[in-house]
Amino acid sequence: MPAAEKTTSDPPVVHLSGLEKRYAFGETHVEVLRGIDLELAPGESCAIMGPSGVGKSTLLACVAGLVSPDGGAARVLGHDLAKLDDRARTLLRRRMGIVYQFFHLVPNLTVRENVALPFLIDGNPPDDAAVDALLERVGLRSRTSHLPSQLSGGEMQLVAIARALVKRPALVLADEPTGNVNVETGRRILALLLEVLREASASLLLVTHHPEHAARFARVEFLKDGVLVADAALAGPAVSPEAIHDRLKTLGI
Amino acid sequence: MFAGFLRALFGRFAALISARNLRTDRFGTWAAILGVALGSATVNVVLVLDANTRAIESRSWVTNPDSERTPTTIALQGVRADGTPIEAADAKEETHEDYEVMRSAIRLGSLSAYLVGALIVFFTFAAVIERKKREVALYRSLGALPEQVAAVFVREAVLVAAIGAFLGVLAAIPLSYAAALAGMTTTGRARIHLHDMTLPFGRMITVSLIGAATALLGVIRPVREILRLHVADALAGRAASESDGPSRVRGLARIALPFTALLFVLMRPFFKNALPSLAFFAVEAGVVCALALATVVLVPDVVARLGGLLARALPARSSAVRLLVARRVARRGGELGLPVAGIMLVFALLLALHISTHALKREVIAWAQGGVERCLFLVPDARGATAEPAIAAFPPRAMVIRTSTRTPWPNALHAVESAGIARWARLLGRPDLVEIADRFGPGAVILSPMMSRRFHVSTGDFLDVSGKGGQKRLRVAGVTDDIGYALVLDAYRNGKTYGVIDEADAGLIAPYVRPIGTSLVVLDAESPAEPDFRALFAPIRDMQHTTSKLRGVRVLAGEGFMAERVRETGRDFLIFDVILFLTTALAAIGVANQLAILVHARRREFLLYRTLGMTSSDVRTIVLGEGAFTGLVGGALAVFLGVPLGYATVGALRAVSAFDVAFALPTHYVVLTLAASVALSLTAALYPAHNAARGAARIEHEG
Repeated sequence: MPAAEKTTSDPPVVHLSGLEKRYAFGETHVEVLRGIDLELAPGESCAIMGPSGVGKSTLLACVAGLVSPDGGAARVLGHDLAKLDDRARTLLRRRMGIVYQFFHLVPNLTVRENVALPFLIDGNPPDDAAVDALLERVGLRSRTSHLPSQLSGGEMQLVAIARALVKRPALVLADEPTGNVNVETGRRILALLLEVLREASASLLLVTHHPEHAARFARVEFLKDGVLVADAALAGPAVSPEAIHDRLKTLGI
Repeated sequence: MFAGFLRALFGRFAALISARNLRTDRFGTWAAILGVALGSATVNVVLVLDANTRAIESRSWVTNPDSERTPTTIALQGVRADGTPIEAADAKEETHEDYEVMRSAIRLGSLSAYLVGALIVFFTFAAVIERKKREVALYRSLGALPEQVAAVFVREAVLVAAIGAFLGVLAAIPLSYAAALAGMTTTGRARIHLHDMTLPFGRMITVSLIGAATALLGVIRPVREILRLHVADALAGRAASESDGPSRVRGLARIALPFTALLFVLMRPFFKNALPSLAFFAVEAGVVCALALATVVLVPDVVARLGGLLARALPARSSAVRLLVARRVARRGGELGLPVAGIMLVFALLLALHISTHALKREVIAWAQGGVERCLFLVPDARGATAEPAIAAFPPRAMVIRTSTRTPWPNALHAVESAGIARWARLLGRPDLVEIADRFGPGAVILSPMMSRRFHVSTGDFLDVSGKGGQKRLRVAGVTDDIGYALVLDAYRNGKTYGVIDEADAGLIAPYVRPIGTSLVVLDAESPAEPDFRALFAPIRDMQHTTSKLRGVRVLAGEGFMAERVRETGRDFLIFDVILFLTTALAAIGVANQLAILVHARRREFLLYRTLGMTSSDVRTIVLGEGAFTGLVGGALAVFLGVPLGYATVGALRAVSAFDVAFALPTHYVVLTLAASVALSLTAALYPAHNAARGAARIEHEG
């Protein structure tokens, strides 16, 4: 089932306009993002596709305030990132949930502690009910005292998702969350992520390589040559993975 | 910001993460705790011994320069041949300064343990934080503020520092008692009685708190580094490129090394003449330390280059293990820089210390071989005792010379029968001594070299003696220790500062000494070069067993006396050995910790070796091989650094003390330094090697 569509006419949670990012490799400068325009409404989910190294992760990092863009404007959760210092951007990130391809769990903490970590970072006692509910939801209620090294890749990603959602963020950024697990587990993880987000009315910006996974989104954007290429034909509940695949081919991705 | 940091320090996040980190990396945690504890304990032990040594020495007028008590004795005044009086140095002050130098050297020496401990803490935190880059990036991406991340590591450091400081105070108590029981003091001329021993807890706690503060300082730089980390890159696994910091430091060190050496060579004579002895010693030690530090910074490059040479020297068809060790050392040898530097510093200090004690022992031996070694001494060791009755018991081959006891130090004179001096000189068959003996007689004095140096007089000058027994100007007949020496049971340095006067002038010192014959010097007239002490001593022993005439008289052969003095010299410097032993233990912990950190970082590499068919034993051998290499290079650099350090120390000893010490490097010291370095390093590599083998097996098992 496709992800939720725009639900309100509230200001967008993400508004990127002409976003640019360049990297210098010695003498060579590579323009990764050349003017990205993107708007993500509250509750909206969007998949971004594109070949490796095109700048999808950089785009997410810019939205998260982890990378400073070289041009353009980024407004996230109502804040102009350019006007925020590192501290303010950090505090803003506490209102987001981030999921990485390589899970990034803290190896010394148990499953429960990893999920509760955002509360601790906030300086608050963990909301045990929320932690338990999410662990139940992701099917890891019986593994709370296990360490990440005792989990499979898929289970680790479920813990990472639980951690990203535990504080009910308004925006979730997911960087190829299914990229490091098998296809079946990937499907399950994505379904769960979309379901929980829909219930929470949170927005999702997700990077994926997989047409089948992108097909579950009401909106798919393609990143090519540093700009986003939207396709109205690929928006909506009836999009098939094949259609996305064809579009990728057309774009030469 | 600071208030935020304090809040974060006591917050849940820092509490949970720091506790987990400390528990997970137990080996590193304990290495850091022991670094603080042993470093502080070493300084505390020296502090306790020094406080008690001072307390004991303050009770005696000989060892307390501020004591107003002075013994009743003769007065001495040097006079030039032309009759000009010569100002002599205050013997007590001069001697006190000598011992102050030793005391300072011991205190400085104890800092070596402190330094190694601080380095362990610093590098442990640096390595741990480096290893946790991705974790820190994750915290930052989850919204942790810089002060929250800093609080995690500072909290770890506080815990390590607090436990280390507490253990440092605690461990110092039994160690101090053990050291005192073994006869150790900070000057070598006092004896600390356990029941009198006091523990300066206030100062001990201060020392441990400074140790704790060092641990906290150790965490600042790594934390500052980690807070500069690029979160997105670290999370993506793109390690930030090495900053130009280390290379800049190394660049500076490259300049510092030749510059320091040049400064040392050029300025040494100036320092030596212009500064008082203690300051000269401090400057010289400082320059050598600067040289050592510059070398430490250069060590990674040296290790990598030596590794390259080793790799080239290996035969082309070597086994995989040998090849891997050689290639690793050649390409990443710089990573072994810290363990190598630790081994180098510790063994360089040990080598320098042993070169110094060797020089001092050689001085004792050279002095004894001049004449003392071939004599048998009978010395009264109790009030009223006299050796006179033994004269009749000696066999005909014995040449017996009667002497008086000595006037109290520092104006020490004793009387000898002049005929005895003449016979003594002729028996030894040395024309220079015969010449002196011929000049000796009533109105003459023979001075020991140390006495001559103290009064700045030499052969042909005069020494004015005055006291209750009268006043007389005595001509210096010669300066030697080889005839006329009569053994006294006193500190070695004091025992060597004396003058010999003729029995005809004994009245000058009579009120202050026991008469001629109280003390005897006996030589073997039949075999003066190789005296038969057994034959000389046999009748005396019989006499001691059958009569009470020699009660309170000590009989000592010259060679036995020499051996005892050599042992005493060793014992005086034993405290340095203890300090350096603790430093060596710390170095072993540091090396083990560093290798463990490297092994942890390379666990996937070891897994690859296992998947390629290597056994656990092969993996263990790789780590042990690197350990052996670390020890070998560290040992070689220790010799390279320790020999000039030893040379400088002997030079400083010559400059500040009255001893005529000379530099010498026994070959077995070099061999022992290399062997001990390799042994220490291999021992330290055992645990990391075991871990590497076990870890590789586990990872493989887990798939």
